[in-house]
Amino acid sequence: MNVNTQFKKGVLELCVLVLIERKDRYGYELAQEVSRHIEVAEGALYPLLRRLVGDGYCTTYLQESSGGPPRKYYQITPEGSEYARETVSEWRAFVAGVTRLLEEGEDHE
Amino acid sequence: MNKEQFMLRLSGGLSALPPEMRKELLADYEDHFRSGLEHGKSEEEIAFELGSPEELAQEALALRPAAASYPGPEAASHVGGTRAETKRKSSFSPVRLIMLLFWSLLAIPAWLVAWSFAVALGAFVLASLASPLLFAADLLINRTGNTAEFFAVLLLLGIGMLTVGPFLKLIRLLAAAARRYAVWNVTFIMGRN
Repeated sequence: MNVNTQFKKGVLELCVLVLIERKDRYGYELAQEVSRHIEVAEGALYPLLRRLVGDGYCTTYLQESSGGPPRKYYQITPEGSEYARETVSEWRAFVAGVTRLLEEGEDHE
Repeated sequence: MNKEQFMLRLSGGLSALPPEMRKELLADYEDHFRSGLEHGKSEEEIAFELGSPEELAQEALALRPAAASYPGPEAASHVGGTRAETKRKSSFSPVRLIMLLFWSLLAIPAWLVAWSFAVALGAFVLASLASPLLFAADLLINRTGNTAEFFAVLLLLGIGMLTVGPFLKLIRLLAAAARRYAVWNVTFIMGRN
């Protein structure tokens, strides 16, 4: 597994947390939403979602869908919101740091 | 690869999972296929977007109860884990703070000298570049000015134009060094991580 894949997996968690913090969503919907922005193996969502549920960052409930079996929705918990907030600010700091590093490199050349 | 092939390969890869967990996870992928089909996608498209079943199975195996209590490299690489580690390793130390104060007695004057030099150089570059304007003002207002002055101004302008590049580079280097020094100070007090 290359670095890029590992990297995307970390980012995927952040994206999923942010998306379900905005509103409750079901798996396929999450996959579509993430894929709109980044290229990722959508299947990686499900192990990730299970982990988030296991860690208490979100819960699931079933809701009827129009003409079909019920769908599993994911809902964020207060701990999940807190964790999402922390992760987002860490991400921002990380991106700012990398940007600074790249710019510093340009200065010296 | 159609749905059946995908599910078969995935389920094969998941055989090490507890049956309950395996069933739930497979149901998630079944649901995904159903939603995708409802949205007018083909089984092949959906399977392609999901990714390689073998790789997905590997990720899911990292979730096994046994794996969860002994976080492997996968668990450590996720954002939360790294944060907790950095927090644990770095700690504030008053002794280091005092050491740093003495060191600053030396370092701060050195920084002041460097920056004053830069400011002086900046003033010189600015004045050199502005000299034609000053010369023109002199001509217009005082109606003095002669050929010698004109050549002196030309020379100054040349020097100004030659030094402005290196000057900007120097400022940038100084700023980068100051930033690095500030970061070093913080890491020094907080301990290395």
